[in-house]
Amino acid sequence: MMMACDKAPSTPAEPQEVAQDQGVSQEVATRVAAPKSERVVAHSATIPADPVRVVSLAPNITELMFALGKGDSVVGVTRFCDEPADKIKDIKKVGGFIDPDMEAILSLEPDLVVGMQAGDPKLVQKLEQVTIPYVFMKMDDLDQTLEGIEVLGEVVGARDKATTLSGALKDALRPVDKKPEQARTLFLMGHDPMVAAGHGTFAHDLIERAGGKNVIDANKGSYVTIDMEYVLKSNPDVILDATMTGDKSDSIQSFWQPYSDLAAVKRSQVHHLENPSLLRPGPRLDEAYTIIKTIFGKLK
Amino acid sequence: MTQLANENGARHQRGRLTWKYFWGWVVCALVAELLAASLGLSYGSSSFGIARIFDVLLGGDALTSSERMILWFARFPRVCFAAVVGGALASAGVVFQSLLRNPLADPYILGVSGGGALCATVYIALGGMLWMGVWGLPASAMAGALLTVVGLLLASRWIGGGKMGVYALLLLGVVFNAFASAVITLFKAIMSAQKAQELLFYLMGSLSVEGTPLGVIAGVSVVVLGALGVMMYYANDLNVLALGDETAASLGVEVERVRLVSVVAASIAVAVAVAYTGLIGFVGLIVPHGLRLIVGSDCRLLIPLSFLFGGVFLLLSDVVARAGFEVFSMTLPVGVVTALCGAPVFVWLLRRSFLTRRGIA
Repeated sequence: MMMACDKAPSTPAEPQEVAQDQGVSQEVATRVAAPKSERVVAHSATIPADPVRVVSLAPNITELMFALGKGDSVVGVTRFCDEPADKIKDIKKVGGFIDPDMEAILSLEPDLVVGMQAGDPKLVQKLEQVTIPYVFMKMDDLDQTLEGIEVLGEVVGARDKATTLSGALKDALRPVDKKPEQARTLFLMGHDPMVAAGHGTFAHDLIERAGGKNVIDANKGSYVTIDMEYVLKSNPDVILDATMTGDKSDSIQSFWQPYSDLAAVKRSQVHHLENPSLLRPGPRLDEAYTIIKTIFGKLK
Repeated sequence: MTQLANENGARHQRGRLTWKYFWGWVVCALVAELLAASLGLSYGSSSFGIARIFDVLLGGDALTSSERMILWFARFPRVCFAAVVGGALASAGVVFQSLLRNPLADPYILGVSGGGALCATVYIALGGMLWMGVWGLPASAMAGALLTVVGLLLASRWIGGGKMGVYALLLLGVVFNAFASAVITLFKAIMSAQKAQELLFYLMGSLSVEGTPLGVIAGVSVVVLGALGVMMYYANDLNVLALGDETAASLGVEVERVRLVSVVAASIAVAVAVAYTGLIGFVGLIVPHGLRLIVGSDCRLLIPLSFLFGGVFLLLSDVVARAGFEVFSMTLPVGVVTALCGAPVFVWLLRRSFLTRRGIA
């Protein structure tokens, strides 16, 4: 399988497909390079046109692979990959996305490794050395995700499905026409440390599309560490709290109980989002959007 | 008390060290190292056994091409680094403990860790300055470690202190490490979550050096072995230094020079080794002390033995770290394993030595 990419890595070339008639006598038809897109941050010189043994190094990639109907070709996932739960529980884990185990990856003999923005420059170098084709992507907001889905579809040979999925998501994520009143919203990722979703996060995009207004200042960056003083000062109308609590779902309400002066607490608009994984750049963003829209829809 | 014990040990052992005793132990250690290395090569997250590996080593073709790649690309560099890094840490441990006359001294005490980690942190925080590519992190860690040691040596000379010089050096190292860890914490607080996690992995120390080019492995080994040679050359002087500076000087040891050269040699060995593996704790502490309890504290024997058994210890720790993959879907940071396994083993050794009425010498 690895023979398919035996060529020494070279500079990224044009994204045309190299057909068999150009004299490429390899097991699998290879494309010269991954699609040219800003969604691809790193890729090997060649990648197979139709990969059949894919290692996914990110939870959202794993989800997307299944959503694109390519779940059968996924042979390895990270220990953080949790969806679709029933389908991936028997797939081999290769470690995390910062510390994947090279031996585990090698033993799966993949013909493609797909991950999100490689934090570790060593990982790209290691994959180059063992000539395993790889693509690392970047999807930082909703628009990038929609585009990224199409790019991923092209990479793994599911272009049509990807276009459909991306179109459906785009439809489902359309901004609302009628904006709710008093929807200044705080979205919390966790309590300790208290991290809020600032501008340039999926939570922010969804809140704004649903007609709400993020209380975090635009200049604060994406994931912002705040304190209770900031919360009290900004006095949000709605608090969307995605803190993971294990099975104690009422602990979110009891956490906010003492701050009864907060508008959100007074109006009983503290909502626990039990599944923060919906906010991945993946196929379930519309579910998160529906939840937020429903909450905003009930605002008076 | 330990200082006294060390002196006793040195006095007992010196002169009694015969070639037969020396080579007996060295050969034992070499055999242990070879066995540990074979175990390291034959064990991994994908299992294929030792018999098939020996077949390959003998030129057979029992392995598939991907298994061969796993062996040479993934396992071989790990095993080499474990042997060399473990050896560097443990033998440097012996030198620092003798030189600073402090049983708690470890290879990191003079800021080798603090400086290395500090520069690595700055490097990670600055976004990994792309022009340095994969060399950036090890290069900055090594530069940081060496600059710190040189700086501390200069500072201790500047402070003066004469007879107390060795304590000044020790204090400076401890203070610098505390300072460096404060700066690292500051960086950790203000850097992005992903970078913080990357840093955490570096600070915990890991042997995920898969794919390190053979040239780098050979280079690191040569430097470490060179430093080992220097340390062994001064082994007898280090024995005498344990009796105190004045005594050593009166016996004809050039105290300042021995101290300077052996500190620099040990630091270079450690800095070069940890540049690739991050900070792996505990090896430089428990291996030398463990060996002292068994063979006595003659540096002439202790330094080479620590080198070999340090390698054995890290090789075995790495096997345990990789076994963790089955349970946690991750290869544990080897530094965690060295501490978890090292501490209880050390307590057991200590008890055993008291039971056999030898004390801790």
